[in-house]
Amino acid sequence: MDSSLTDFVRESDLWLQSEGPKHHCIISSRARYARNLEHLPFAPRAQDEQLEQVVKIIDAVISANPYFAKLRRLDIRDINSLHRMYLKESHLISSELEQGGKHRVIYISPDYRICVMINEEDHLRMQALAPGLQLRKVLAIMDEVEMQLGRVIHFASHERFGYLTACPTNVGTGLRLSVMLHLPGLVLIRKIGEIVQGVAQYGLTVRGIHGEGSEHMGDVYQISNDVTLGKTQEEICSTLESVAEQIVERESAARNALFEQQPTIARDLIGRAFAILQHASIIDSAEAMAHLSKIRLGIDQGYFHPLTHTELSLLMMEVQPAHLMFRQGGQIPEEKRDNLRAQLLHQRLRSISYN
Amino acid sequence: MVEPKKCMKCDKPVAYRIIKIVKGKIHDFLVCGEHAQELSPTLKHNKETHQVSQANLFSLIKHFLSQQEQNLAGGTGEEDGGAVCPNCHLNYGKYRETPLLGCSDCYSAFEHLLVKDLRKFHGAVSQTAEDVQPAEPEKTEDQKTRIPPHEQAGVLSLSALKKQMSEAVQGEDFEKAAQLRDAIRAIEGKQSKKNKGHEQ
Repeated sequence: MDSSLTDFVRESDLWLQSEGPKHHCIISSRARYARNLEHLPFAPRAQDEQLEQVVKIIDAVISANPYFAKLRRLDIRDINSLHRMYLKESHLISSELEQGGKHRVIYISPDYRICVMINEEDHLRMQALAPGLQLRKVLAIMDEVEMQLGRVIHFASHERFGYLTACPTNVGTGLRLSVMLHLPGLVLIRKIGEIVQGVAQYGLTVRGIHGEGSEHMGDVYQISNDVTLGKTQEEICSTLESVAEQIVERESAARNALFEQQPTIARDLIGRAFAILQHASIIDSAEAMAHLSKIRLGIDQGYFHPLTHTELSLLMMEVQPAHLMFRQGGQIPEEKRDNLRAQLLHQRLRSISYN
Repeated sequence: MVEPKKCMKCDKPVAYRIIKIVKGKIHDFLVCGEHAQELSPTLKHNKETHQVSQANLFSLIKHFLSQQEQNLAGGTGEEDGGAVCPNCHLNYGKYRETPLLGCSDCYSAFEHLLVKDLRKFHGAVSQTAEDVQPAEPEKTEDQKTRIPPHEQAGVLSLSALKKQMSEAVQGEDFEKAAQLRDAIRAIEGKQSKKNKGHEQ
């Protein structure tokens, strides 16, 4: 196994290791642009030679620009399935790229905040990640990356439809902005349904921690814009930022209400979660996430000192399947993983007390 | 199409499947609404709505199947005129199945046909504030070089505008280049004011 690749994959949580604004409720922010080259078939309908051509063109553009000098290039074929799964869990690559495939390349920055993907559903998908609520920051990073590439590449666009993408759901700005929120308060007071329904009127949509189709594990909700056409980047960003801030206010109010009006129930819920994490020998990822969510809620109140929200966000990643298997050096059956997960949690929480 | 099954106790179409366990033996009944009511008195069968909805269901299935047959025959029943992209040769009908387009030229080839989908996904059909009418009057030479106001206001990204400006310069369309330059300056002026207001 290429040790430098292993080390590289291991470090891919780095982007989440610093504390971001409003981190008690907002885990992370992400901006993603989709762009394509003109006339060459979009990736899902392209022949091998055409996909190869896309890679060559973009490789040439990136290598000629000193702005991109520090990005590390990786061919998806050189990344094994466990490593791809790990990178997906770290939110660096999409589930599309996790599948593997030929003529698919990624460029990643040393701090792992920027990833440029070639031949995902579109010729180019570029994303920026940041902890906490930093939508303007990730959008600014993406604008810069897009501009640097756009100096040489004439992205496919249409006077009416804006930037063109393989799927019409991405045309216009080609921008997907999202925030990952931790909302245990709203879940406990049963107001989460209102939020989920309420965001739709803003052209926003709600998904679970791993995107489309994933459940709302660990009370983590991903909110992103559905609409990419007919709005500017600035409008999409302002809307999402404003909605995220409103949700944070409501979540904070829910948490306060819970601890002020039902302190015994709140302590009991958190205490039971902590006890299970400390003493279970077998625990699956859904259950681990559910209990870790309560611990993260308790941190607000000063319980579990010196654990921080950031450490909990990272722990929520560490209990995911690929992260566990990676620690052990290879694929492991589910039952064994559930045991390893429990051991990891004992280790992490051993010196923490519930006050 | 398969004819709907008949109730085990009469000639009416099947509406319910009732499974009863009697003395350890499983009895499986396919019956109409009324006979279902007899077998399971707690069942709330609404005669009218159920029969109407059955009729609707079968007519829906019929309609769906006929649509599928049309699709296979190469037409969608809509006025796509057998639209095909001249660059990648994608047939519009094929796009409807997936829905992924073939290349950037598909958007021009299927422009009027895509408008419906775009309205459904985005509530908009163009990257501008107002709807662009499909049939625009012939532009005069003068109008062709002028940039419409709604395209000047930073709707496309700044980088796209800068690219257009350099192309205009290369093409010696200096009037257009000057207009683009003004639009870029206006946006950059607004952005620097905004940035001073935000500390992120």
